[in-house]
Amino acid sequence: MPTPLEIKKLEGILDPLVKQRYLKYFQLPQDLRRIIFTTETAGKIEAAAKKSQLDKNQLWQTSYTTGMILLGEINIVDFVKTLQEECQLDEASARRLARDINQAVFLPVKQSLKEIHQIPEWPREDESAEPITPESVIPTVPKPNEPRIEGNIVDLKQE
Amino acid sequence: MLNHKKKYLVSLSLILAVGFLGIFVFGVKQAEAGILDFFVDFSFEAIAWLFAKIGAIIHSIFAVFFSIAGLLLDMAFGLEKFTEAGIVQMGWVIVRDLVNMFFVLILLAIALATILRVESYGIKALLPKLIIIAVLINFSLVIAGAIIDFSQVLTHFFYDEIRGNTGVSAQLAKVANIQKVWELNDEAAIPEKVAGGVSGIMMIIFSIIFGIILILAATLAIGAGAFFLIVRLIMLWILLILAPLAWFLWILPDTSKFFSQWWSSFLKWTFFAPIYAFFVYLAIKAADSGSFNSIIQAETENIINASGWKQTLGSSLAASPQLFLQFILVIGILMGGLIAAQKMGVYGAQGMISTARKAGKGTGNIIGRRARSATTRQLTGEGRVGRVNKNLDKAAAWMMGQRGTKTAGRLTRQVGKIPRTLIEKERAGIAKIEKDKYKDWTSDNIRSSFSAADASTKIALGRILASRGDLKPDEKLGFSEQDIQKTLILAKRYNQQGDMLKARPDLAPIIKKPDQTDQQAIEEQISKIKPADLDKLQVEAIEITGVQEAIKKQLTDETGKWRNNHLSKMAETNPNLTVEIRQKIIKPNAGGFRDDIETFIASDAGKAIYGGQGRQKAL
Repeated sequence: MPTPLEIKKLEGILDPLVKQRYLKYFQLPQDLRRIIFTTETAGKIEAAAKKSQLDKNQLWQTSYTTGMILLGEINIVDFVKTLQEECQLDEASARRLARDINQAVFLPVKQSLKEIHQIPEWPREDESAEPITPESVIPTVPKPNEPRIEGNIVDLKQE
Repeated sequence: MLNHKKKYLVSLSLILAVGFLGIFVFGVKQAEAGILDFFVDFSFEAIAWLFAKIGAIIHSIFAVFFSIAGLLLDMAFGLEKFTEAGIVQMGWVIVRDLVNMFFVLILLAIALATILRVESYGIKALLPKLIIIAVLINFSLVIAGAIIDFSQVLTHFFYDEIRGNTGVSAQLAKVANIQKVWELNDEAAIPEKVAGGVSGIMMIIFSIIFGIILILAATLAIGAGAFFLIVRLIMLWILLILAPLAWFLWILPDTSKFFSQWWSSFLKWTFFAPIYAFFVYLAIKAADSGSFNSIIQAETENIINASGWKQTLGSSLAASPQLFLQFILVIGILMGGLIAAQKMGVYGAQGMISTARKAGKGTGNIIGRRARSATTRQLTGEGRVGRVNKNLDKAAAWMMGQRGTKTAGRLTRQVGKIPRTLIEKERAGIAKIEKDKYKDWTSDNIRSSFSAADASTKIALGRILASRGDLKPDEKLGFSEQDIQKTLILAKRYNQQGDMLKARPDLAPIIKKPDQTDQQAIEEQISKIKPADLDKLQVEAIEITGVQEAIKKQLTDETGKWRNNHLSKMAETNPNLTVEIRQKIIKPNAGGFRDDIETFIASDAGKAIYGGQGRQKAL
């Protein structure tokens, strides 16, 4: 429940929708409340948008949708679909954008999101932030001239 | 020949030594009859007699001390010249005349403090005190004399009862049975004690030591009482002589504690006499009473019936057990009374001072409240006094070296150091008011009690409201916008305006610097706001166009100090302000924000809560 001080803070807001959403915000778990307005979250969304080469309008819509999910207004299962519709992206781009935001923003607070969205399992939890490429699968072999590094110890005998 | 004589003397000495050894080492009963009996009886009687005589001499010497202490006590109770004493009459006049000269200095201090706007030393705080004390100083001896006379009446109430024809000390000696000490050395009782053998001699020795202790204790008890009564007289003389100075020191806040100390000391010593007289009265009356004697009788029997290792001491005390107990009880009450008189004097004085203060505050508050609200109005620049103050401001500016010569500047800088500490004190006082009294009050309660508050309290109340983001008028509660503005001016004097301006930067022009425009004053204030302060920034301030422009400047100019975490913190802690700023400043068609701000606006997830659909359409 919002505290009397929090209710007092909403006294002057005339727009009922904004008032209602702030009320909902005050009832969110602390970890969700902590991340919604932060510059870090905004930075992560911006980074994901940049990666997907979104324009300013698409960035705006993406951050709005992310906020709505953190608030519990849009269900997490509809995330890809909403992004696809609001940002006018194809399914693959929307899925990739959703995966990046999921990894950066949602996963650290997934327990609270599970509670407010009332879902037993987190969708796409196992997905990696980076797309799997052949480079990420083949282990890197050090060149013969380079000193072999094992842990923190440099093998100078190989020099 | 000489050798022969020496041999005789050595032989005689040996016989005597062996004889005495026989007496003391092997006991009286082992001494044989005949010539040795004679020697033994003679030696015992002689030693006992010698001890008794020595005891009597020692007791007599101590008795002289006891008599002196008794005489001093009687004399000390009779000392009654306080205000009439020549030294007091002369000394008081000298100090009064000296203090009358100091009034001129105080007037100068008040003038200086009023110019520099040091509230606690200002004209409204000190002038009434100055006038009261200027009048009262001339009556300080009469007022103090009346209090001393009252205490003397109380003292005589007890003293006249116990004095009798012989004096207090003789009465005390009588009820303490001190004369019985001499009965212990009675020569007639020596043969009886000698018959008791070694224990008889021990009894004589105990009696002597015991007697000394009794006389000494009685001397100390009576002497200490006499000593303190004499000290009282001297202390009261000194306090009466210094009365004009002590009363004068009440005027200045920093020296008023000496006035309290004077009263505390004065009342303590004044009422020492009646309290001590009461305990002497109690000791004499109690020792004379029947119940007291019956308790003593019971205790006497306990001592006589004592056995075992206490036997010797017991038998010694048994010679005069009544003396012992009666004595302890009388001396105990006297010594206890002396301590109680000291303590009660101190506590009584403190009690009286605090009661007087409360009574003074009660009546003072009624008059003071009206006077303060009137003078506060004047000091903020209204009316004739306001005009005078403005002129004084000009004089202060000149004095502080802005227009004067270097010498004047140097001089005034030195003078300026004095009020600086006073201002620090005033600031500490404001902080204390905030912390102690009003911290837990509701904002409405604070607003409703605002008009009755004095200047320092008003500043404290203004700061509390500002810290809550509640610095807004409520005409129903008698708290107007004008009150807020006046409080800000008052706060500026003590450099306490910061919090109020963080809540209401729109008020910055009221206390702007001489070379600033209104907008510059607002911009300076807005630029000082940190993200953590944004929960206090009130919506009322955003209504003002100048404030909106100043905030926009912070978000658009490259030199602007507001960053995206200002917006982030504002959305988190101040929803109402966020909505207003989004509608009025970061509105749909607004542009030109710095890149970092623009990017944050676009990528902020918080827009899901505070809205911003219109801006999205514009983009």
